Amino acid sequence: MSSSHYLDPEALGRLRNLSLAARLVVEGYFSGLHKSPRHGFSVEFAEHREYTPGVDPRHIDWRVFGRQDKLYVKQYEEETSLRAWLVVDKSASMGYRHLGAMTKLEYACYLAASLAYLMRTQQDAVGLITCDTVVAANLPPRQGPMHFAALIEQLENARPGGETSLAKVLDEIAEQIPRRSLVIVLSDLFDDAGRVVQALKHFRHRKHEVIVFHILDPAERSFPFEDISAIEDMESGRVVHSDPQAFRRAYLNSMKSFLEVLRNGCGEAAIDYVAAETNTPFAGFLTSYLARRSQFNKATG
Amino acid sequence: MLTFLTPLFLAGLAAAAIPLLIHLTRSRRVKKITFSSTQFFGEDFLRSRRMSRVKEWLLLLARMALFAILALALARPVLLPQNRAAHGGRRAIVIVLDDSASMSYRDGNGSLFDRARSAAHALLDSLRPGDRAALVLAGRRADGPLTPVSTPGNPEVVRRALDATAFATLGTDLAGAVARAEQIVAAGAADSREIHILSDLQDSGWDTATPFPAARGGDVLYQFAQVRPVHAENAGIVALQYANALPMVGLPYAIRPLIRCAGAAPGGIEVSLFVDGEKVTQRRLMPDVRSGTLAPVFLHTFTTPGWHSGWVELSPDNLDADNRRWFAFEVRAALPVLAVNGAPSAVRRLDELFYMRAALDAGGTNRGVRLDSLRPEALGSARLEDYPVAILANVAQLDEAVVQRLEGWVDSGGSLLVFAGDRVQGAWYADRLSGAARLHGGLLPARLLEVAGHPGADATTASIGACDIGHPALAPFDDPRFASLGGVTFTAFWRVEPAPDASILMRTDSGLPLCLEKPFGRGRVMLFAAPCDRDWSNFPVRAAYVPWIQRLVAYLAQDRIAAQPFFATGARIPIPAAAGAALPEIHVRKPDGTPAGVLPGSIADSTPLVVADTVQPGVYILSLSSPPPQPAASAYRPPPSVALCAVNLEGCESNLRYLDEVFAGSQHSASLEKSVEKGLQELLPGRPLVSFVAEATQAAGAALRARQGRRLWDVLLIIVLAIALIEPWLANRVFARHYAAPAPGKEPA
Repeated sequence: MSSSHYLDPEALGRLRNLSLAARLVVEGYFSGLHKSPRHGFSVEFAEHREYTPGVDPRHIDWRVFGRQDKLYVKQYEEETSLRAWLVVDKSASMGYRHLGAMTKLEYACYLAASLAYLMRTQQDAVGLITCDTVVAANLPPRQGPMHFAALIEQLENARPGGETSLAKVLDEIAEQIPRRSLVIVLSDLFDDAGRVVQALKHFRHRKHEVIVFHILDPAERSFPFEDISAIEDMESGRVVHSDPQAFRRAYLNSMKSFLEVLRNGCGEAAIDYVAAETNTPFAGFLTSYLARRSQFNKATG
Repeated sequence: MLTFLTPLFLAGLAAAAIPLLIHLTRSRRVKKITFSSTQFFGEDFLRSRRMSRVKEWLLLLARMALFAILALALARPVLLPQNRAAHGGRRAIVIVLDDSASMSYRDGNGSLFDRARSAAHALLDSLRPGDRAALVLAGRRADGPLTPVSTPGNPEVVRRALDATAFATLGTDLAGAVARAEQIVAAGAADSREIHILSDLQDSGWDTATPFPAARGGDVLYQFAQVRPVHAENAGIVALQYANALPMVGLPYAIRPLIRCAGAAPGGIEVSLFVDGEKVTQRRLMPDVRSGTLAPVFLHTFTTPGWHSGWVELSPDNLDADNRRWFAFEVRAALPVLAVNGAPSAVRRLDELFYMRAALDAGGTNRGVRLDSLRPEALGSARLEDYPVAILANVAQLDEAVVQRLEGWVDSGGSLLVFAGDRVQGAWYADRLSGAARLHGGLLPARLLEVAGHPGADATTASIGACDIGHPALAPFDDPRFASLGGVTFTAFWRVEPAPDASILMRTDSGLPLCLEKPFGRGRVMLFAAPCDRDWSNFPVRAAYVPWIQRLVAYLAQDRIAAQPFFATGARIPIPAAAGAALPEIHVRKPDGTPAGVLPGSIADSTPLVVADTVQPGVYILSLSSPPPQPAASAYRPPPSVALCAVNLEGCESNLRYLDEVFAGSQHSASLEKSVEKGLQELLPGRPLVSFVAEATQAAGAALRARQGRRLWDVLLIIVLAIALIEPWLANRVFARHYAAPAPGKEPA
């Protein structure tokens, strides 16, 4: 699989059409809306601004002064100090796919790759952690094409397997991330909902910003099975003989409770909780998510 | 027996397997699903699953039952009595029609009999060609129930017999009629054998004292269809009582009708006495509200000897058959009685006949009984033929010639009354007056054994116990107001051994025979095992002694045909004659003047001739057209050239209490019909197919239903409808809760 396997060109094209503000909103939201203290040293020119006293004269664009006889200073798009961690759950349950085009893990990897690419274009440092019962891969956040290629390779090699102890793993990861970062969790969060929330709060406790992409297969939301079945747990191998029709309502109620605990817990901890289904094109999903975040940040100033 | 009118539809029972097959097919389609996590399948799921299973099975059963019951209903099941054909089989029915007097009761809908007859016609109308019918009438008759059509045959014959039938003034013998109907219906072969009883089901119409013969099963259908008034109101004369057995010229003779009233009689009841065709007394009386009875006393003095007749009549009411009751007496000018004094005494009160003479002369006129006494040794020369009654009062013994003369006199019609006291020589009595070697087994109805008790002591040995109140002479003693035998005690009495042909009229309190009677040729002999004076008992000084001795003497003085002057309609009137004697030529006229036949009777009970046609109530006239030649020197008194005999309706026909009322009180069933049906089944033990129809007009339809059996498909269709209504609800309970997709917006966000 090429490195662009997870990069949907159409999705990235649409992302590129988004305004720079949108990217800034994203960055600002991720980074706490701070400007880099190394402002003006970024290599990317942004605009000119009339010189005012007090501005460092080293940034005066003399060429413009020569043409227009006015003092302008160069305004550069600065590189933020954002460090982002993509935490991808690759437990066995993430390998589930009912009728959709991709498994939850594949979907998560697409999403992670897109986000990594976005952040790469923003010169952010992106790291990757894949986990099941334990942390399987750990790429600390870096910049540069080589790192990005390594990250994509890790995503490509991610295979579902192993039983999730997600809350425990997240706790471990929270302890391992040394600096204040943006942590993006991509998982089905199939564990005890209360413990998962506690683990996510652990990130918040360590001053990390957290975004949770809760990835579910549509079948897990609607439980559309009709025939009497033996249901095998992908992770534990436990087989439950049941008539799923008879249990549908109860399952849905149980799932609803599970989601409510997660959503409420994340809301309380200022964790951005985003539900995603694998039948939703990830590009459209990501675009709409970023747009929604942009409007939200404008509204909140 | 369960059968199906359209059994082809039973193949539809296989449709019951359709839901099962679907269920099993679905059950076998087990597919393994690999799911991301089973963490949401907890104990609640498994519990829910088990409940769901149960409900699914319930639903499955409901659906299978729906198909199965629908198939059964379409097959039109009927519940038939065992071994009965549903359709097309030949029927043999016997109609038992109650033609007793109580069926003449009239109310706003006509007489009960007419309604029962209409119901019988309806039953005949329901027959098909090839079916057979017979008819039995349930009025009580001497020869058993009348069977106008005694063999199941063409229903048209029965129809004509029904048209010719009217109610009779008879008692009811339903049990006898049903037994007769059983014999008739059992004789012929048929697919359906039925006995239909159309009656008012009067309580007294079924003799419960004699149990109906039990049977074991059987396929005969007994259907009782009742015709009865809603509220029976009636006043009827159920009996006539008399102060004396033998009226005498010039003596006031008390006639007391016993009237039973049921229902309101606000204006009272008009009671009239007719003697020899003329109304002699009329009164309006109010019945006793509590007892509903009336017992007025009419005193009439006959002025001429000979036969007299009359009736007591009530004002008309709903049931006229019991409003008139007839009587007939032979009034005697004087009754000569010959008494042989075995213990005479110069002291009057110690004379053996002192108390008897005083009792027979009670009233002071001395015109009723003329007591001629003589000593035992004079008996040989006495003119016995001048006396209808002779009394041996404590006679020690007699000459053999005198004994033989007495035997001849009694054999030819005389009546002998024997009192056994202290003078009596028991061994001689046992030897000469009883024993197989003597004529008719001896004169005495019992063999004297020994004296019981202590004749000279004051200690009481015995008192009077049971008394045969069915005997004409003793019947009034049933009423303590008439006379009480309760205080009579004995210091001694003769212990006796009754003869085989003797009847015991009185017993001591310990059950030993005290007074016995036996027929002896044309006459009869009565033995009292104690003397007629005060030597062994206080009887002569008790008030009951007077009517007792008067009734005994009068009874013995009567001709035997007059001994029981009242007969029930339908019963035989016996005409006494000595066995082997030349029979008189007797002509009998019924109350309407038409002649009645005289039939051979039973020689065994000395009634070689009987009058059997006694359906008409009233006074029957018996006359001799050619008296038999009188043997020389015989004491036989031939029957009078004209004798009267009153025949009346059974008193119990006036009692309008019906079996449904009896069973409603004694049985505890869900409905009145069921109670009566249960009671009737007990009356007919061992017969399972007994049904009851409260209204006779529905008898034909009920018979058809009973023959067709109980239709079950109506019930089954109702059950199908119920299941069809329940099934969606049950399915909704099973599926909607667990299977149906949640409403929009109800899914987890």
